[in-house]
Amino acid sequence: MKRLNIFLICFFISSLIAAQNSILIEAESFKNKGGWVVDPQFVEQMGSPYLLAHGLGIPVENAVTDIKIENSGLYHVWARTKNWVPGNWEAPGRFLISVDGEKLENELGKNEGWNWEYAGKVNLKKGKNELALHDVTGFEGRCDAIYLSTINEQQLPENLKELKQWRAEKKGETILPEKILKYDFVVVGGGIAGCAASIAAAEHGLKVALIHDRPVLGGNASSEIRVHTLGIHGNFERILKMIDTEHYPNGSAEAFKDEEKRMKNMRKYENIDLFLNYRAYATHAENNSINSVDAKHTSSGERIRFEAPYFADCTGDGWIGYWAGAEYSYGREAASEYGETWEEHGVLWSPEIADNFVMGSSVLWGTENAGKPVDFPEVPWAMDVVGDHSSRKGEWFWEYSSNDLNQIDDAETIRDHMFCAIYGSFYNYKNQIPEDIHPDQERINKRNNWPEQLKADSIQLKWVSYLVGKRESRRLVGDYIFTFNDAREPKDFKDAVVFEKRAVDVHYQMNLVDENNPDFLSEAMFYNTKTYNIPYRSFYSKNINNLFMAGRNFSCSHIGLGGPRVMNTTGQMGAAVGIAASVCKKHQVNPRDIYTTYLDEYLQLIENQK
Amino acid sequence: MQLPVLYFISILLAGGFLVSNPKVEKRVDDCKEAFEFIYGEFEVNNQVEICFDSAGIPERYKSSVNMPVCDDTLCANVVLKIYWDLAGNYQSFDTLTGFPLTKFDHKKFSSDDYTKLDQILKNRNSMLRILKMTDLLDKSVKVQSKKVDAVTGATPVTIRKSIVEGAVYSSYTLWHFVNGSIKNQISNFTLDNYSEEVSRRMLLSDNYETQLFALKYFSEVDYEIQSELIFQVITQSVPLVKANTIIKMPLPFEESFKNYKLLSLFPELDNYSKSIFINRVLTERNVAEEFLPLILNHPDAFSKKQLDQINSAFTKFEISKKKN
Repeated sequence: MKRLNIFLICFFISSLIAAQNSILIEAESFKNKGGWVVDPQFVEQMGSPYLLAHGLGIPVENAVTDIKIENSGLYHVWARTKNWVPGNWEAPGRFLISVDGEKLENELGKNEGWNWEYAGKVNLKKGKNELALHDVTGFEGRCDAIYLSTINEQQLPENLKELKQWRAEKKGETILPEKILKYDFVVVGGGIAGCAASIAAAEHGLKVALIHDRPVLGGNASSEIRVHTLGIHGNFERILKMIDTEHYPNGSAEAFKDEEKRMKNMRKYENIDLFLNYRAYATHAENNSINSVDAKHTSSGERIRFEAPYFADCTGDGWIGYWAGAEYSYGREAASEYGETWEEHGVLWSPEIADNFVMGSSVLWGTENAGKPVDFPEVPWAMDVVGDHSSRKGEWFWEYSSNDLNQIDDAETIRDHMFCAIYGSFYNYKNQIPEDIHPDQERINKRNNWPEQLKADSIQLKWVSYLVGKRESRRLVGDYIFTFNDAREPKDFKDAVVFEKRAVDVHYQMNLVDENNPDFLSEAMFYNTKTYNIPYRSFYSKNINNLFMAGRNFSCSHIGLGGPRVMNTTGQMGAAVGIAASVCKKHQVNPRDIYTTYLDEYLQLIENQK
Repeated sequence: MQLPVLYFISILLAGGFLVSNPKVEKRVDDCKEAFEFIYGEFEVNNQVEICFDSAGIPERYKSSVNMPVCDDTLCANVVLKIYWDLAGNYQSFDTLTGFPLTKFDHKKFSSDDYTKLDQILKNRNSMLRILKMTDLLDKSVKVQSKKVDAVTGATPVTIRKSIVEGAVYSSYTLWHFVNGSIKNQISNFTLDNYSEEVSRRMLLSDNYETQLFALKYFSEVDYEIQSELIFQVITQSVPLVKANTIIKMPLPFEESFKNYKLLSLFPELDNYSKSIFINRVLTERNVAEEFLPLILNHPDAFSKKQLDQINSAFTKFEISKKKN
């Protein structure tokens, strides 16, 4: 017992000293981020938003912040980072840390998987010190956090659960968020569905919170991903015209113009509070009802609890439902499950046994003519992915899916695979060799003067998204599961609220049927339909009483998603949900009650708002 | 088209006065009448023949067509000999002497046009599947004929890759004809005359749809008896066929050397097929018991994630990690 007491006292004293002489800095909270960008896409998988050196091959400006040191002395410095393409080459995402202008000895970003890498040691003075991240490569270096401590022998936590707890202790976080806010309706996810849900609810008198983890609204249609909106406007043309896009080529900078329109229109609604750069991270549910959603600022870490009687999951990945325990599905159902066979495309359309080979994610990109020769560095780490594939721009069919990869859990791997696809293909484009080149000319590395090469010499990367443009992920289960058959043989649902006539359009990876293709290109299969409709029952959870859903996470099968997954259609879903929420509030009932008891009133409201 | 002309063409077709498309091998087929096909839209009757190789095993189908493809007077009838494989998948076409394919204003197809048409007809995912005739021409842009007093529309940019320019209706009509309901009629005829030789020929086809068709009719017993054929299919097919073969095959084989052989193929397999196999190992105890010890002989064949899954299967089924 005595020995235990001594141990506990020693442990307490050492913990105290460690606490006093250590500091954890979240990279995303850097005061000046320079050319680094905040990437909050993979918080659930790796633990935090992080800073990404997204320089398209040119090292980005330093990220700089001040730290306050209570006790001067020799500090050891670690960064939580990863080598995002481990292999027999120099890691592509390397960076250095400096303190007060002095660079620490070790380059970082060199170990596989998220881990703490040792940067070196440095003498810190008491008071203010300047900490900076120096990108070395311009190729997607990443830093989650920096930890400084006077003690060197520390085993820093790698396990996600331990890391979460350790982080909270280091930052002195309490369980309860700093702020609690109350609303009539909380919409999580500011894509087209979330925007439409917010507008429709606000127009019907609800006080709405719209939580979105990016600085701009629109999701896949935003200037950050740049996919144009497709599909019809159905009953909600007026609302959707405020937030949709023109039919610009995917990846076009014209997305900015539509985004400006969208942001302006969304800000017109006084009863919509926009919480941009807040990412939801938890729900609190009891008796199958959600009481609140917690969200955290992606840079400052400020936490807010949002309480409301009704919630809409427009996250795309169905996070709110998932956290609350909603039933959901993922993957491709066996063709026999809902009778979704289409002989024309057989197992390419719908497999005999269920699997995870869903439609993939895209990362769009584009180039421009610099008007003068511009170099692009060698990218040996990308060549295994691209082979000899060459390209100067991406489109929707730059898409990656694998039966082994989950579009949510493995999203960072998928995004990084697409980075390799883009940089490798562009490198090949810049270094094309004409078929008729003379071997001697090639040997002496003489510059070719053939026209394509001259053109390629001046082409440079203009824009590469770093956000994964997802097509398919979790699908929350509602009272009705919309399937291929509802589009193939349209039904006359009495609660029809969303209408579409777009062909059912399902993708597959091209290398499945032709191995000469790289694994990041897809092809579409189209099933032509008449106008079909989707019932309201597909837009609220089967088992979470006060949860609506709109967007790609609505209640459908894999093939059922094929038609209505485009953004004008998901916008219709959002608007339908927003109006339903207003009827729920008026009668103090749950979403299902709208179908069972208040359907006429609801449908009349949809008519009235046109 | 006047009846005498049709009669003349039919004589030409019957006499086999063909000129080969540059892409098509010239050969004399041993064929016999299979069935009559009516292409509803133009009410054209076509006799479909089944053709055999020198050993008398069915090899392919052919049909001679003569059909109008225009809604105006600006193009001639399409006169062709068309070939399908045993599952009804389009293979190729031949033109007939004196009847070249023509485009807008009766301009003859170039060699590139023939090649492009062949590629278009082979593309089962063509946009043409979902387009209507009325989508084919942008009537707002008028194109004046130089040969007759008529105008027609321009081709919308979005479909240019899916058609031969100037031969929009020919491309559209032929695509729907060769990939339409005739496909099912052919495959049904094949099924009515199915044999082990036909099955083998289809399984070793270079058309993945034909292979998948044959796999559908491959019985559980066949996998054990014809394991060498199945290993050949796995080795030389595209990933979709490999993976679906692995999905369908009863595992493990009764004779253990076949299980060894199957696993020895894995280093060269694609990721999808490996993933499908691991899924079976994870969900079927008898597959796990047979193959998990063998997998240890091929650790380099699997990705890190797949090896993690394999390790979890050892634990799940409480199988010892002893190499075989």
